[in-house]
Amino acid sequence: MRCENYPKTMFYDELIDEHGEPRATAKALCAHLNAQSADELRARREAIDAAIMTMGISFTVYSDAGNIDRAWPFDLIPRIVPESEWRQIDAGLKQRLRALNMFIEDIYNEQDIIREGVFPADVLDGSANYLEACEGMKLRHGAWAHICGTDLVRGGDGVMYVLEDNLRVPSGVSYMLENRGLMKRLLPELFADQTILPLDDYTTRLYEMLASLCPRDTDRPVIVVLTPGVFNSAYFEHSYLAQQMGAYLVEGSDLSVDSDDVVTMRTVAGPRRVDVIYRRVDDKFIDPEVFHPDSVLGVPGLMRAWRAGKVAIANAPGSGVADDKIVYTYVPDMIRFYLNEEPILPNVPSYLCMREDDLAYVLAHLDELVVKPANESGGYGMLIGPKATEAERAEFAKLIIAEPRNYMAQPMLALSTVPTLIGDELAPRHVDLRPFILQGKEMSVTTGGLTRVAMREGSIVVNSSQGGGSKDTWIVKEGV
Amino acid sequence: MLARVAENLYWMGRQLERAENTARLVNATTQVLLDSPAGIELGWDELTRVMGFPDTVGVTEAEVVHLLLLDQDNPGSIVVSLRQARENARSLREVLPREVWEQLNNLHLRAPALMTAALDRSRRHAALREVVDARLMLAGLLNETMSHDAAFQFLRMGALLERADMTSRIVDISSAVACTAPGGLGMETTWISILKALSAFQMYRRHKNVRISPKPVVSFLFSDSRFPRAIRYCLENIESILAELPDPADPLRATRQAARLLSKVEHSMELDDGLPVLIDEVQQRLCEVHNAIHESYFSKPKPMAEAGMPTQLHAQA
Repeated sequence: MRCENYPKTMFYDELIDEHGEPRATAKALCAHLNAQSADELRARREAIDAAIMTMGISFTVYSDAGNIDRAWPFDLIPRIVPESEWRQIDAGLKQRLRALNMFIEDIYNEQDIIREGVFPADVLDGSANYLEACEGMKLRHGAWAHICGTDLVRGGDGVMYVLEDNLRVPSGVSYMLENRGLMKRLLPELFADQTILPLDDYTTRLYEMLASLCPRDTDRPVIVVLTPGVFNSAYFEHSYLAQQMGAYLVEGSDLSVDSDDVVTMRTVAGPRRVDVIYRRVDDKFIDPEVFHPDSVLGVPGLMRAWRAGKVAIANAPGSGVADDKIVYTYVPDMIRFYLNEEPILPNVPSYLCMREDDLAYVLAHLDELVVKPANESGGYGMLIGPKATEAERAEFAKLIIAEPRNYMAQPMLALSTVPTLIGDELAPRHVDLRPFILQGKEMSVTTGGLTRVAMREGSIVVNSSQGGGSKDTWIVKEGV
Repeated sequence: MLARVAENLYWMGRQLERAENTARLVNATTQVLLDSPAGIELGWDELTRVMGFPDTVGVTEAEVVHLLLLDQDNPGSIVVSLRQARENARSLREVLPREVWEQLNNLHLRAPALMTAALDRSRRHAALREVVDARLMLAGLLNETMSHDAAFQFLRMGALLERADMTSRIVDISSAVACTAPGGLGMETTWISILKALSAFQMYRRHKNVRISPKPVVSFLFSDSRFPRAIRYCLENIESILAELPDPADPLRATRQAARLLSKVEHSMELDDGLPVLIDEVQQRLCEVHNAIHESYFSKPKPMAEAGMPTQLHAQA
């Protein structure tokens, strides 16, 4: 396997520079790869695939033909970020989440940011994620979105941009941890030669963060992970996190709310009080008394218990108000408004279809832009202009005109690439990066994050539900 | 512990034990038939009968083996039992040691190929033995790496109850085969094969020290309290598990009632139809233990058929 044969492209590559040379932090890796024969690499890859099957690292794809439990797609060439750059990103992510949480609490209370004219009130009028049931609530540590998965992309200019903030039920952290486990198990020699920062402590920090939300004064809070059940696409992650934290993995039917607004779970020894719920069920399904009356995933009375302060819910209901691609465009303003700081991480330049000028521009440049609905996730319902047909663009234009509030557009990004093992060769494939940020009593960021890779040549869709794979992400100390 | 989790553990225990015992049973039957005179085909419809399919007179060996090992529509077949156990384990990953999940997941992934191999008589013994070995490795992992807490005990209780039930079925088919055997097939070889299938041959020799004949063998498999595959052993262990659980009165009573029947075994074997009737009664009692555990600890009672339990055995007996 020769890194020298790696094709040059117009894109920024995370491991190889514009002269075809490995970047400083990728030298050891490339030397190692150069020393491996194609047969050896193939054997490693087969070992990894077998390990993934045995370990049952899977995700579910919903399809017309029924739900399929698929093995987690993993590429063994890691993505490398220099530690000095990572420190900046870490600070930028914390800054961003701090501002977002202040925004959420403000929006459900005083609405200073609207009164001061920084954020337009009519954005909220159309927001499907604004919950009246949250008005007037003040939460411990001012934290609403306790677990945030922020998607970062590097453009052709080499700058790391924030693509979106996932504040509802972001997933992927278990795969990040499993990817590292696989790499250490199957390519241990790579870890011996250089300083790759460890990331084992995420679940400990998650536990401590959740414990810091406990409404009771107790040393041993009862923490549960609320899952929609074994058929959910992220079920593997739910059970993984519960297992790693020693928390209970519960379904809605295991919980109930008693007449004192206390949440209890049904155990073999009778009901037991629950203090903190890390819920992996969407807002609209958590309480059939308040939202979808026919939801069987939720717990009747849960919102009542939460409002009464008898139970903590992470992420708090209503956090999704800030996880919206329109609200996203205001995050730099939020940072200036609440923190009086300049944003460390830039947003991707965006056009809001609710603004007349922007709308005209978007409709005139549909063939250059990526258009996204305000509150879909998983890469569903978006238009990738340059790759769409004329007819698809015309169809999409009608959707935008019918509901401009619901759409925003961004220039097609020249996403950076990482060498990826395709057959027996290294080929460039586009990647993004999802670090996870926690905010409770304290804040923390994962060391690196989940690197998702679009396995199809030229594709920029990295979602695992749409053929994306993943890589281990190394934060490497330079000059060691 | 969550009631739902306890229930899934209990079923996982049952399903694993079911897969192991079905493998043992098919292996034993194959061995018995190898000893029978050439040209005689017997026992296969007996095998399906004790496994809960009363209307399969005249089935062939290939059909029966397929039904018990591979049939996707038979909730008790080995591949389905293992798949269900694995699905339960998937919902229990936070309570099970990681190695247990990996071992079971692996067994589940290998099962279809193994069981296909077992359709062939010459490869059957090795393939079924592999299922039994993998299950024993799981039992070892559970015993040695999982805290012996309530979760462990629910799993174990499911396994013990299933084992008691399967041992009664294995005795049932042995007595049926031994009774109907024409000339050449000596009763002794049948019982030796059965004891070996249950890994009970050596233990029987050591503890009973009498020649192999139906009464002491059945009595050993029913009422020995030290041999782990004997019904009494299973029930006494269930009893001590229950004693540590909250509110055990109902399931304890049911367990003791079942155990009381076991002492009737020697007497019943002197009667014409005594043993089949007793086995029916024992299975009825085991069913009541199951129901009592359900009502005391789990969410909603699950109908037996849905959960993969063969229904009434001696329907026409």
